[in-house]
Amino acid sequence: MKDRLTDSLVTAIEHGRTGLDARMQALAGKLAYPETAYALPVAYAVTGIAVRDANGAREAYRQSGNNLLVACECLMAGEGGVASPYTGFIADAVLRRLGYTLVDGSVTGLGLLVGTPESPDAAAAICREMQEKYLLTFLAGGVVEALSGAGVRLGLDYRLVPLGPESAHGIHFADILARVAMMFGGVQPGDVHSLLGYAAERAKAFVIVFGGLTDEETAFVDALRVLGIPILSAGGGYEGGEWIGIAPAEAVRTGMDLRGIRVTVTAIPIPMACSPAFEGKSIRKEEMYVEFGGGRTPAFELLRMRPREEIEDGKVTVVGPDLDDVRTGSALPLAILVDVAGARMKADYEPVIERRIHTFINYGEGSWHVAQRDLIWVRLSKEAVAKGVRIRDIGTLLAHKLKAEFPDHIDAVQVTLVTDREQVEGMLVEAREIYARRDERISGMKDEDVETFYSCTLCQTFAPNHVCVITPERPALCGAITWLDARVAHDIAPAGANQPVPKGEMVDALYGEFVGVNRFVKKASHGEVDRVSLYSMIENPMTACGCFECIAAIVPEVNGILVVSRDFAGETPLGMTFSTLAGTIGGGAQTPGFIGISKNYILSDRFLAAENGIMRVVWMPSSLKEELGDRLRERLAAQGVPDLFAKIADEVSAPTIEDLVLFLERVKHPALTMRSLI
Amino acid sequence: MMESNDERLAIREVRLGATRAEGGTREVSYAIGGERDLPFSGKRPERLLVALEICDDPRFWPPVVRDYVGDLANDTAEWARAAERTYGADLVRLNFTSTKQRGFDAFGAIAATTEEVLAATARPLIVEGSNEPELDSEVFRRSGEAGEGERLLLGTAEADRYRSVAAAALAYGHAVIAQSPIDVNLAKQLNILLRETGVPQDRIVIDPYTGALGYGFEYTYSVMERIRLAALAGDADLAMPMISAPTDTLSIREVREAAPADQEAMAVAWEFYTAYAAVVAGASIVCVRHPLTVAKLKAALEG
Repeated sequence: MKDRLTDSLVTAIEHGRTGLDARMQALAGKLAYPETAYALPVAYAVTGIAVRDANGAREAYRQSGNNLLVACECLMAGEGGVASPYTGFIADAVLRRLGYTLVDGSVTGLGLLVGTPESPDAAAAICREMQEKYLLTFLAGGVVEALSGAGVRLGLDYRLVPLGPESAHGIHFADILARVAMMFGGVQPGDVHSLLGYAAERAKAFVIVFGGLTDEETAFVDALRVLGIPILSAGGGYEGGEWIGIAPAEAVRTGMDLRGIRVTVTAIPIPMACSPAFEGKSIRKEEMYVEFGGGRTPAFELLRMRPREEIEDGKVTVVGPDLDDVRTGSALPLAILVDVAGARMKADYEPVIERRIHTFINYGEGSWHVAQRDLIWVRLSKEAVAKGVRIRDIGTLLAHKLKAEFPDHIDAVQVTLVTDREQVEGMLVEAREIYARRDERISGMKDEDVETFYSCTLCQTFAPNHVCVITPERPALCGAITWLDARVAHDIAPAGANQPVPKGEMVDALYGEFVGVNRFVKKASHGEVDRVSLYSMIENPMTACGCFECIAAIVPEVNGILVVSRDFAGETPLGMTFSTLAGTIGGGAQTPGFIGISKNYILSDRFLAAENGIMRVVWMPSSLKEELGDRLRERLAAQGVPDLFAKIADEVSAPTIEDLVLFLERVKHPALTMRSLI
Repeated sequence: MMESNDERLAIREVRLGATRAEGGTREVSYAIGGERDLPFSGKRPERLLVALEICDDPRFWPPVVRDYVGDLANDTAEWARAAERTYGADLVRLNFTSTKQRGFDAFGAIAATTEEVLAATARPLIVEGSNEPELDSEVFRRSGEAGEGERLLLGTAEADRYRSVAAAALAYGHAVIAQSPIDVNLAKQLNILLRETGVPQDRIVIDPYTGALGYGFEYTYSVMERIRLAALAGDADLAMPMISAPTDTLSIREVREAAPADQEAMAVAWEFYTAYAAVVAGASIVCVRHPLTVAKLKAALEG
């Protein structure tokens, strides 16, 4: 049974093709559409031929490889126009306005409805949903009468455009796409490749088919697939082929999901302002109505990827007491559970996107957030609560911001906020297990585990030849971008400042030199830098922009390396402050003996491996030593030198080079007996 | 500086205005950009352009200018004609200040005014859209459509509102002013956003935002210098000509609180020195509001 039905669509398409083919051969006379500079637009875009008559049409058809859209267009051009309220072929001037709304974002995508719906009401519901989602909908065939009968108002003003009484008039949908590509996409007539690219990436369109198509119309609709347009059959008994059977109520959502069409809502429906302008404000104890976490109560946040069908987009649930039940100055437990789904979402992105919860909650005028994971501390101000802000609004804020900021990755968000102590404590155990697994995944990642590093050229505007190469074990020198971050950033903005760098063949494992990295850096540095050693500060070190968290510098007198961080204002034993050193090494140059690095890189196995890494470090400001603290101790213990921590001097134990020499001799620092650095 | 023949390292040329032969109705069209060196260190650009700004609703215009132009302010087309014929501006920059009024919906007037001003002047036209994001879509469509074929310079795209102006540029063949708040990274990002929308790079003019002299102009100068240095070092996303509009100069304290007899001279002086400094920093077009500043700038630039 299924086979026969499967065959039925394919057979219809074949019949249709034969019929259209025959009519093409019989076509005669002049062919033209009114008020257009694009002749017969599909034929023009595909072949570059401006068709004027039947012979030209046949030539274009032949050159297009017997493309049925070309055939349908030529045949339609021979048939003459249609009467009002149908639009028929849409003139260039009108189309320019429609295309404008598409580029401008006031229209999110395009839909075509063809055929005759079994239920006019279901079709009307589809149209309403299309309107609500800012889609521009074209109609062809019996659906137009069915909608009019159901009282739906049609016309350009309603974003429901009745092309013609026959489903075959749907061909104008294709000529619209072709012209939009030529008008707005810079697609040259005859350049099929860029036409298809434009249709696939820019003109986000889908088709919903109802029943009652002739074989020729079936073949025409199927031919639209070449433009990357999914065909959704909502009734009508089409089965098999490449069409997607769907219930009418699911059609719009499915079409939007398939084409990645999203409606961005800029105004967030909560009773407080929400903007980056409020990010820096804090809510002091006296101004606070309620707080969560911060040591007073258990609190955590967790963002997880879920299958799409498990998420009700935009749903916010509060479990436990809300603010109406608590007094001013109280503390409540809190679990912020964010579930996201998206066709392009990956589990690796979870922690990266989870970090944004901090940013977004701080965007709220009366909400404040610090730290992350199970260390969070959240406050809501008295003023905000007086204006009606409740715990639920944090969820609404997060759901909106996450979708708005990650439109390509997050299609649906639901947020659950739990304030019931017992439940929060129970969930916390599970959350901690997830955090631990994530840490393992990132911290366990080695440079040799990946084939691709990432670049960062964000700073090229002021250091035009600087290229950061980010590896799993060497974060960007500013400390702000890890390898995972860079990968996500590239995914989100493929044309952005983080580009994949294929490692290529290894030149030197210890120094971290790779053919692919050299090739990339040479190009990205505009030819200035030929070679880079990722793990060395002497041989072809990486360039520095000016944003580095720390500077590592050779101290020749003691055969060691000192590391100074930006926040240390005093002089190093080299007799220079951080800013003096920074002035000599920035600007995108390679400066052997000096290098800009991030704090976390100090803890990496690859930290200046070519110069014996952490074993060479003889001096750090005490603030940096304290900050790295236990993590540095662990790292040193793992290397079998737990006592090295105490052997690293600071501004108190060794303010000058003379003090440093004495200090290192007294503690017998290993650097003193290593091979000479210079 | 060494003469470079590398096409990549030149500032892109942007064409403004279209003559009849080019499909428009202007008597002249301009090509700005094309520099290969820092300003005044290599070949001097063929011409530096001075635009006079006018508006369609003088209620939202600096009093010191309103006092000087008098009744002209109530006839946008005549004002535009005078800008060119009487005051000697190279081009007119039309501001739709009418969109600042509450509940504005006279979109038909936007198209009509654009057409009138185009008819009143023979030189390329800069058109500033609305001041309200909600009005952008309609205002840019109307003015863009009315100026189809004339290769207008449309302003102003910003990082969070560039789609409408980009769409109008694409639909009707215009160029775009891309403004960032004195920040080289944001300038670059906006140019990339515009490129991704489909605006060709030779139809973008950078507006780095111009602070008034004594009120932050040094930041503007420094950013313009960095934009140009990055462009000459090969950063294609910054290799666009620049436009500067020292609008802020007319509302600073020294001008506002000047003795009535000195106010005009003070306004013109402040506008002139800020605009001139912007030219030194590399601006291809400077836009001023006081008619007397135009002549002063022209004299200084030609001298």
